[in-house]
Amino acid sequence: MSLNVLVVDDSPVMRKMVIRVLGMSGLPIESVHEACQGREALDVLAREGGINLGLFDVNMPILNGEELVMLIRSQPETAALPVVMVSTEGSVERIERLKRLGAAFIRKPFGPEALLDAIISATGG
Amino acid sequence: MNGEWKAALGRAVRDVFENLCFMLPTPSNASVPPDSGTSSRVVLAVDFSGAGRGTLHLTLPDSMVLPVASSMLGEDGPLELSEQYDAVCELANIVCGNVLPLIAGERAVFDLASPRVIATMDADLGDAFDATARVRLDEGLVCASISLELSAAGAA
Repeated sequence: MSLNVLVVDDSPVMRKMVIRVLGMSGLPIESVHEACQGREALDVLAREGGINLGLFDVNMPILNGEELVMLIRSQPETAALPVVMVSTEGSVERIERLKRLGAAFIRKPFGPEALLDAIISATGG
Repeated sequence: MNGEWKAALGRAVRDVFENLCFMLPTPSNASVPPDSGTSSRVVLAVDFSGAGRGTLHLTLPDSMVLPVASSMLGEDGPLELSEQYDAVCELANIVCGNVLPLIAGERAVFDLASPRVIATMDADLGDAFDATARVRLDEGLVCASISLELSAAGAA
């Protein structure tokens, strides 16, 4: 299955880095969409059909990554979206909270193999 | 305590530069010219709160900004100056996010503010830090300093 990915991070540089590593993962990527914070991500999800993977930063203005996942899970159209949270801050408590929201977690810095493992975990293989 | 924090800072700097920029520490027996006292340096700061409150400072030679940004972004061509500084700011953010669990434990939750450039000239930050680590890479000397006041929960 080809992936249509939504990358959400308030840093353009980090979005670029995540997309670069994604490209190195060997996964079949059909399209990549970008948003700079959670509210914009919701707009992209509503506008673009077929997004089937989210890579979200945790710390973002306006609507952070955890809040974004909670909103996504509350809406029937997006509730099942596989999500990988990408963050520099990876406390056990935060990771457990994200797992309860059905999101996988990966800590920066990461390489293609680690991202691939996280995506497999989020998508269930 | 400061010895442990210094070791944590050094480890985070080495790990992040190696994994993100493919920059390795200079072997201790290698002949490395001393840093010029007049070389311009970039100072980046990341404030944080949560299980503790404080600031991480990351200092690197001005000459390392472009190589670091190019490595992070996989770009061989020229980069806008703003993109170069965005990249090193993210680098500081990642160092901060990696060192805090080493100091405060894996259960401590921190919120990191957006990283910022606080100096782009000859920088003297003084000694007002709880710990400082200097890591000599082949590309130059990187210095990480932290001031941190752990909350009661964070120190537990």
